[in-house]
Amino acid sequence: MTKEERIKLYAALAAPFPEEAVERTSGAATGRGYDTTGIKYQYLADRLNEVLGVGGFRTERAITIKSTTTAKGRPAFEAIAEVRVELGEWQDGEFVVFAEAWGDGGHTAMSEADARKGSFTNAFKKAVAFMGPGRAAYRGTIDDDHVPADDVAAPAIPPARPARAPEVASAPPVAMSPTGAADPARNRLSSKQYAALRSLSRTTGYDERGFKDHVRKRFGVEPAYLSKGQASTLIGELLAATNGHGAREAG
Amino acid sequence: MQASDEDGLTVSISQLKEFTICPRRYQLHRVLGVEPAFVPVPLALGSATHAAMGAIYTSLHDRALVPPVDAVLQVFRDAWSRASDGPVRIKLDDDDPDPIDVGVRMLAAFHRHVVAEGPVAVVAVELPFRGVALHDPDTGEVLDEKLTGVIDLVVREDDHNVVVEHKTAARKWTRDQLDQDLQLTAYQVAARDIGLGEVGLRYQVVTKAKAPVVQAESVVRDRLAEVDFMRTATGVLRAIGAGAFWPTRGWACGQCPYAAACTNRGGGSR
Repeated sequence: MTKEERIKLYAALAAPFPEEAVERTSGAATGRGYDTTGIKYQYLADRLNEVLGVGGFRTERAITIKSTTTAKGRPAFEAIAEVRVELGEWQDGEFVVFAEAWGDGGHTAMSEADARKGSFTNAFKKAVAFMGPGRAAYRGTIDDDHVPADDVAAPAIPPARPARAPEVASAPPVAMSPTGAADPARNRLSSKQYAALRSLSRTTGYDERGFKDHVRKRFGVEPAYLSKGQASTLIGELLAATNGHGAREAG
Repeated sequence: MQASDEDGLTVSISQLKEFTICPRRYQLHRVLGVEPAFVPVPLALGSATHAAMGAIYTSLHDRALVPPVDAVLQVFRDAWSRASDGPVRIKLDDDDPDPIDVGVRMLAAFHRHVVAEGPVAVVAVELPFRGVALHDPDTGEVLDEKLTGVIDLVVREDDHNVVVEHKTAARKWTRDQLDQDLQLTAYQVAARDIGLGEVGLRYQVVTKAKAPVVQAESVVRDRLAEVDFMRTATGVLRAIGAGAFWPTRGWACGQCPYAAACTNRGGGSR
C-alpha cells in the first residue's frame, strides 16, 4: 500500500459520524462525576467493515478480572481489557496485517459478563481511534460537529441579576487573545462539517455545481448554510455512498 | 477524500457588507441561492472598470509600462460585453446615461491620473488571500469562518507596501466614508497575515460625473479600527449562524435585484 493510499484510507476511516452515532452520558446519571461524549461501539465496528470490507480487521484481547465493591458496598467485578485491533486481509488462510493499534479500557459492573463487555468496548474504541474512527471523541471535538437538537432548541436563560445592578463604567474595547469557545446560538454547520461535505462530494463524483444543485433541491439552501443536523445527515449519506470505495483503492 | 482547511467556511468583505446593508437580501442571495432579477448597472460598471484598472497595473508590473489608453478601453469594452452576454440581464433605465460612455470617460481620466503620477513599483495586482482568522474581540473566541478576498493592488513605496482599493462612485467619497469603510481595515488585517507586513492604505475613487475625477486618499486604520472590524464580523457571523435574516426597508429596495423574491419567498428550512 502506498503512502497516498494509506492517507486516503485514513481519511475514509476518520470521516465524521452522523448525530445518531454520538452517545453522551451525564456524570450525574452515571455517578462518575463527569460527562462523556463518544461514538457508539457498533458505529465504529460498522465503519471498519464499511471501509475495509468484512474480514478487513480483527481484534485480540486480554482481560483481567478482579472482585471489588461498589461505592454502596455491593459486590462487583472490575475488568481491565487490553485490546489489539489489526487491519489487514486474509490471504491463503493467514491474516496479513498492514496496521495495528492497542487500547486499554476498564469497566466495573455487577456481573462479570457486563464488566468484560464494557472493558472490551472501551479498549476497542481507544484502539480504533488511533486509526481514525472516533478520534474526535478523544480530541474533545465531537460537539463541534454534533450539537443535540435539544441543546439548540433550548431557550437561553438570562443570568440572574442582582436587585440593583452596580453601575459599571464602559471600558474601551480590548482585543482579547483568541480562544476556541463556541457560540451556543449557532445552528449553522461547522467549518469542519463543510470541509467534510466538500471532500466527500468530490469523492462521490459531484462537481461543485452538481453538489450545490443537489443540496438546494434536497434542503433548499446552499451547502455552506446547512444546519448542523442537515450537514450531519448528508455526511452520513455521502459516506454510505462511498463505502468500500476507499478500501478498494487502498487494496 | 481528504478534507483540507481550504474546504472550510469562509466569509468575504462583500458578504459582510451585504449583510449589514440588508440581512434579508443576504439570505436570498447567499443562503437560498436565489437568482437576481437583474444586474444593477453600478455593479456591472464597477466590475468592468476594475478589470481595465487591473490591466493598467498588470502592464506596469510585467513591463513597467502604462498601456495605451485604447488598450485599456478595450479591456473595459470586452468585460462589459461579457457582462451583457451573461445569464442575467443588466438593468438599464431609459434615462440612464450610456454606461459604456460613462466607463470610457472614467477610464480615460484614470489613465491620465496614472500617467501623471509617474513610475510606480507594483508588487501585486488582484492579490487573493484566504484563511485569515477572525475572532470576537470581546471574548477572544475564534470564529469558524475564515476571511477571504482579493486585494486590488499592492504597490511598494519607500520601505513599505501600500494596499490600494479601487472604487467607482457617483461622487467623491466623503471623509466619513473614507474613515469608516471596513474594506481596507480588513485588508490591513489580511496583509499582515499573508506577510505584507504593516501596510499603508489608499482608496482610489473614480467618479462617474461627466468630467470624472480620480480621488486618491490615503487612510489610517488603528488597532481600535481593527477591533471594530472584528466586532462587525463577529456580529454578522453570529446572526448568520443563528439564522437571523431580517429585511431592512428603505430607498435601496427599489434598486434591489432580490426585491420580488423578498416578498414572495419563505426563509428556507433552517
